[in-house]
Amino acid sequence: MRRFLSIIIIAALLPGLAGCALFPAKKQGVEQLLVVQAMGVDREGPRLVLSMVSAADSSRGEGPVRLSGSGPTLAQAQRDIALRSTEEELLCAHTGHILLGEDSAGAALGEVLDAVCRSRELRMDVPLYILRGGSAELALLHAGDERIGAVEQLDALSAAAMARDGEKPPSAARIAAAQAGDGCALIAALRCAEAAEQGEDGAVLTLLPDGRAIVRGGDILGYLEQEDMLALDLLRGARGVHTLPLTLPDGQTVTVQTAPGSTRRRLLRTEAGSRALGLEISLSASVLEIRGGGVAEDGALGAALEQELLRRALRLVRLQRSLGADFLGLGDRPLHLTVSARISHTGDLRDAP
Amino acid sequence: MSGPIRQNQLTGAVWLMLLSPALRLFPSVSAEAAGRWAPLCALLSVLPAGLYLALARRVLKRRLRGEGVSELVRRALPGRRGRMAALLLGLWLCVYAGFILRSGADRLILAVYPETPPVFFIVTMLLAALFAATAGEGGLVRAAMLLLAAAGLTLAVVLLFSLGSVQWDNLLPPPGAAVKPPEAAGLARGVLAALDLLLGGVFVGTLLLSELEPGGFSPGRGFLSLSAFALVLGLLSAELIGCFGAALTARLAWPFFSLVRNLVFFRSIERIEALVVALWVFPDFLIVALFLRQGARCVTASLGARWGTLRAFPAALGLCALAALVFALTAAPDGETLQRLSRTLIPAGNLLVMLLFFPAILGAGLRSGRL
Repeated sequence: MRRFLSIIIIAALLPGLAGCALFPAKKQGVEQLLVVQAMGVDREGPRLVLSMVSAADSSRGEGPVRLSGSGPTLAQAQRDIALRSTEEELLCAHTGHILLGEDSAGAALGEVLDAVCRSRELRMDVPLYILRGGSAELALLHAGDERIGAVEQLDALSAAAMARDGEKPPSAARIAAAQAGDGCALIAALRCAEAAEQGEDGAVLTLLPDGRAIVRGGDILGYLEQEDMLALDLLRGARGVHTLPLTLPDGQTVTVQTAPGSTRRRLLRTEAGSRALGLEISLSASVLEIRGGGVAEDGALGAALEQELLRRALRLVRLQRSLGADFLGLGDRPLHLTVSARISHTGDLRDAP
Repeated sequence: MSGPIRQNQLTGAVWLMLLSPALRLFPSVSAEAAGRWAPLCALLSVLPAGLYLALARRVLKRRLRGEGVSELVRRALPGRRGRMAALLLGLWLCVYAGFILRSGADRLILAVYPETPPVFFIVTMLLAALFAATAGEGGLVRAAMLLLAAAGLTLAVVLLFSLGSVQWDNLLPPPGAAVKPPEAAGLARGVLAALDLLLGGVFVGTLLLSELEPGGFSPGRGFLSLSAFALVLGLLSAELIGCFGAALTARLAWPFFSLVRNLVFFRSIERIEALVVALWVFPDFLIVALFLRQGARCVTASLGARWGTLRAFPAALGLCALAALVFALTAAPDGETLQRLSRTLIPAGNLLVMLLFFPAILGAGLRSGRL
């Protein structure tokens, strides 16, 4: 009985110790909080521009709330927003995405990572993005329409990445870890484009994935394009599914979908006695469509696929070596790259007689 | 519920009390010293810790029935030297209790109650611990058994649900990646950090020995328990380095609580760090209560009063609480100083007491034939 009572007392103490007010002087319902779910940061001279957006509340027929403010630091920019906003209180604990404008990404990245790591509110595994060719403010305040905003679009992008690659876009923790370690990190890049849907006032802006930014220290060294993602996955041993157009020697264009491949790494001894890195990539793909119809031979298709994968992989390796930034984790040893690919099936149409 | 305690209860209490310094100190210090090899440090420390346990066991089995550390010190060193030794040991226990008070307040401030002055948490915890210290070591051990299941389960759940965030490259670099091999000096510093904890476990166990049932200590089970705790330390370190990388882990003040902040259960429950931080109040509470009580026993033994027959113990307990309070309020006015203390003075003092001070006293007692 005493043990039971002790457990009850301990359990009763926990909420108070965890910060729950038992007798709150200022009662505040959840509906009085503005739950910020995406943030954007841009640098304009000495000031940081902070944008915040909430998700739409479809149950109450309310669209997303979009806020923006500026200050010499992120905390002051947030205070600026809180002062000028009619919202009762901003809750940033559930921020699920942070965007950086391209022009200021290098300069603001360190400050943002520092703020996220120190923050009591923000999670360290929040995904970080760089908006190519625009400011984060533009993306957060103008993407979407009255019904949905940037949060819903970013959630959809994150869910799609999870389904396709089996992992979320690189998080602040991962980027901070890379920056604190060898200094080189990849950050998911986005761009703004016109959505397929038309809004009441015309075109609607939407956010699209646009490769990865290669960042070291406070500099963006370059970008990997969206078409490089397949080679990136293969070289890093990630398990993504990609669609790839292939042009065969006879001019025929075949679109294939690759299954998650496997990458085997091992150290080799070269004839000169030095060590080289052996990378053996193997994957299979299925045919999605053949332009102009017709029949594709599996052998020719497999060879074209191997050639295309090798070309793409070597392009990334050359980029890594030329930038001197080991974003592929391959080091600087000589590389022996081999690719084997096969066509697993050709859909519901039999190509072979 | 009274009477002597069993070894599994003693082990449980030691485990619970070690959980607080284990989360505070080891992950970041070992990651800073040994980088991605930090988990190895925990495993490498098992052998020296086992050796220490065996030596301690050989000496401590000479204690008389019901004799605690303070009485053992007085028997080993008679006269003024013994009184001084007991007083110094009591002082160190008060300093450590004061440090735990301040460190626990810092954790609550960082995670749950920002901008709150630490004095509020320090005084509240001190009063609660002071009340518990009057209950005796047996009562504290039994209280620890109540809390161990909750703390252990929480730790296990956090480690399990964080597995998905581990970047395996941070731990096991793929073949061919440029990886620095571990440096001997770094590994040694990491092992020392782990030893600080494991020897601390042996020391805390020693403080509780007077309550253990006669002949109830099995060295084999003691060693197994040490090894299991080292394994938990290794797993904890590996998971943190896997999630944050060694360089970032070394920079974070409380990497474990940063990990908890990232947890999401079944895509619906998240942000439970306040509850976990609150749970970690209890190990602090038990350490402070035990160290205050033991400090008071040392002070009483030093003053020469006979145990329990005079009013010396309550006065000594009040004195120890005052010393701990003064240390907690003055030693670390800010978080930066606290971090420095946590990484320098406190582990160094611990190792000094456990590896030099205590063995020297017991050694002197053995040489003179008093033990």
